[in-house]
Amino acid sequence: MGSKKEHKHKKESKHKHKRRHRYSDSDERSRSPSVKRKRHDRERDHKSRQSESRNRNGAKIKTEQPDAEVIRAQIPEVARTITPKQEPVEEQKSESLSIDETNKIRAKLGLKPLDIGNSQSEDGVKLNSDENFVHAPAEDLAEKKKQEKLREKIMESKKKREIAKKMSKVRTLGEVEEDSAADWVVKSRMAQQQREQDEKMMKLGDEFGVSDLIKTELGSKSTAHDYTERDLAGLSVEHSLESFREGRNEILVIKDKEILGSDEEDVLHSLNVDDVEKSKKNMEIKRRGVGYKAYEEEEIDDMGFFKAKVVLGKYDEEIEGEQITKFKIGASGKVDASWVQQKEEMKQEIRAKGESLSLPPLKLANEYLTEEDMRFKKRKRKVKKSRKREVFKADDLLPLPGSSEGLSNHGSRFVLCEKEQYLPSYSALRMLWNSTKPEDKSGTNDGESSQMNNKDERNVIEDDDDAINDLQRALDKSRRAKQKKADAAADEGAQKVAQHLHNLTRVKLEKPDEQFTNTLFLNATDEFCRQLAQVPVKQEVKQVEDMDLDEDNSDEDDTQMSKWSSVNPGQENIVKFKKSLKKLTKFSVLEHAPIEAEPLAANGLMGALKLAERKGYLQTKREPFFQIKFPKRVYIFSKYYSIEDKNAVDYLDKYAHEKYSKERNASITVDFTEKKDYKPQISIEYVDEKGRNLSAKEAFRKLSHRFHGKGSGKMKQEKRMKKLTEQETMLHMSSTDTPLNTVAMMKEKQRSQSSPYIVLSGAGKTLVGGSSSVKK
Amino acid sequence: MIEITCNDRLGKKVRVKCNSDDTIGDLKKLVAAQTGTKADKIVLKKWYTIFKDHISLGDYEIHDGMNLELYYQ
Repeated sequence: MGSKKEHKHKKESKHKHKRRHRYSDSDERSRSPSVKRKRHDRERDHKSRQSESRNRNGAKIKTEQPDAEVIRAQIPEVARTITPKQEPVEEQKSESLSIDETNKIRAKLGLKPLDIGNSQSEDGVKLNSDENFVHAPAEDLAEKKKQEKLREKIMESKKKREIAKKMSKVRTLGEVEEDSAADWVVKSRMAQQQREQDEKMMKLGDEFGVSDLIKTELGSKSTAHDYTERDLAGLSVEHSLESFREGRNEILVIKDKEILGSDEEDVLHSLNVDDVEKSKKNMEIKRRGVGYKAYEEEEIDDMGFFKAKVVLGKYDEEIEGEQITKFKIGASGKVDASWVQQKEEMKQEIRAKGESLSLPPLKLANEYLTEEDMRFKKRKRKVKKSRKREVFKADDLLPLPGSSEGLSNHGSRFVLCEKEQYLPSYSALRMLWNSTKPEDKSGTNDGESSQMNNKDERNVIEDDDDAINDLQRALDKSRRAKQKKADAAADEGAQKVAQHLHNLTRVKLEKPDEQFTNTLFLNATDEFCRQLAQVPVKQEVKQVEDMDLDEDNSDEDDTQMSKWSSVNPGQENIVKFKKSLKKLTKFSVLEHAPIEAEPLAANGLMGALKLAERKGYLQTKREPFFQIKFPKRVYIFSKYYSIEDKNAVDYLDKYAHEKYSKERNASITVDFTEKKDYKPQISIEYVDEKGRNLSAKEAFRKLSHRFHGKGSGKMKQEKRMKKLTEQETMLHMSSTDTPLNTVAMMKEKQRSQSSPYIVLSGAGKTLVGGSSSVKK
Repeated sequence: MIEITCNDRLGKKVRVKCNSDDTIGDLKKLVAAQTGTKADKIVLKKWYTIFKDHISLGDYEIHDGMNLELYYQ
């Protein structure tokens, strides 16, 4: 502080003008501490009080936790001991401990002592401490480059040395020659000597006749040094075994090696095979293409596992290096190829075990059905041999043509009816089925149709392709199914049929309305009908037969029916019932047709014709090659289908009025359901008093005149009349005359005057002249 | 060694000597030794930053002569 003041004094001498200010400043300073001190006194009082309280607190702590934490307990003591000493420090407004004291406390707290003094100086040098942070020196690029260059140089020289070392071992060509110039002479001499010796030996051998022996000896000598298969043992060939074909020679050469390459052993290869392999490889590359293929098939390795692919196939060689197939020539210079086959077999086995997950190849879907799609799948049908019935039954006789002709024979009918009861009902039911077909209204057709059925079956087998035959087949099928049912039923006796008929009629009577309309009618006639239906079947059939008398020729003639016709003809259901009954009875009659007598040819021309027809001499009806049989539409319809009567009103409906009134209004436009084809062409024609057709305009005028009670005026009427007459005359005008017939009139005049000319008069002047003069 | 001033503005102001690699927890203990308040009742703050116990003063960049606010919890 003192030094600072001195400095200030020096400064003051320099800047005198500031002095006063400074002094005043110092004055203030000197004044302010006193004020502060006063304040401090007050504070100190407060503090002492506080410290007392604190001490008390400390004591409290001490009593509360006598030996829980030694350090804590001692802290207040320290504080107490310190506080009196710190009186001057307290002047600085804050408590502070000396380094020693803090160190003591730190020791008690288990902390390392404060680093002060010398340690601080050491720390000052310490890098990256907060006070003296020093950046790491930047890299010297030049230095780095230098180092790199040096390193490269060293490496180069090292390599050079290595190569030189290697080359020193190899004898160069020049060296060899230089070396063996003398040697070569010696060697050649030796060889020549040998040759001469051999020749001598041969000559000797020729003389003694043992040249062969000598030859072999010489040969063996020479072959002892020859290069044989054995020398090849252990050498490897750089081709796959597959590339060598049996019965083909390949010349193998020792493969070139890199001059500076590592010391690999010699490898044999064939130039031809090399070429082949190379071309194969190129083809493979071409086939595969280079780019990415999304839907490429996964490759399978030798063992039949999928190869996991990480990168595109084209990088395979770059990563793994070229795949070289090799095999070694075994001892005694032979290669055993059997293991290759074995391996192949094993592969095959593994492959056979595996199941390919690949789906059949995707095909572009066609928008339209192709011909293949449209072709019917022909089911090969077994040609069933129709079972031949051994037992000759009554219905075998039935399908004879013209059997129904006997229907007109009334005399035998009664007997037949009675017989029918006891005959097996199979035929009856069959007829029932046949009758349902549209053509089979008359008995003759019935018999024929049954024949036709047989024909159909034959047809089916013959020409399968025909679409129509398909339809027929379907129809046949359904028919047969129905027949089967009937067959099953037919096994039981006639009694059952009677029962069935009875039930049928009953059911039809009881629930007729459900089929046709939704309303049930109960009236006296209905009840009558029911009574009739409940009469035992035998009688009923007889009765109906009676009625059929008249009906054989005219089915629709309901009114002629004796009893049944009287039953409320308006009731549709009952009429239907009648019809069905009629049919039933008809079958029963038909059944006995074969027994009926043949028409007598002696009866006249008609009889003869009939006979001829029945015998088949005369064909009355031309049958088409194949016949499509559509069952009556009634059978196509659902049983529960009915045409709703739109005009019917449900009177029990609460809201019927609103509903139906609306509908009624709307129903004007609804066309007739019962007369669909009735489309009348309406044209209204208006005619005037004279019977002339009026145009729309005229008709309107007339109507409007009548409506308003006021016609057009006299003049207008006359004008119109005139126009009309003119029109009429125009119509009647001949082509050689004027509309007023002037030519005719002139001729008439000439005739009356009997003159060859005519006098044309006009406006007081009369011109007289003949036809010639007129011309002039 | 650095010296830090801790001041609650209720009349307690202490100067604590410590190392810059001490943790705030250590500092709190020292403050507790000087003031007599339990260390775990002390909260040290600078503006709105509450210093955490396990972090060293150096990391908080608490230098010599800095003032810390002393609160109690």
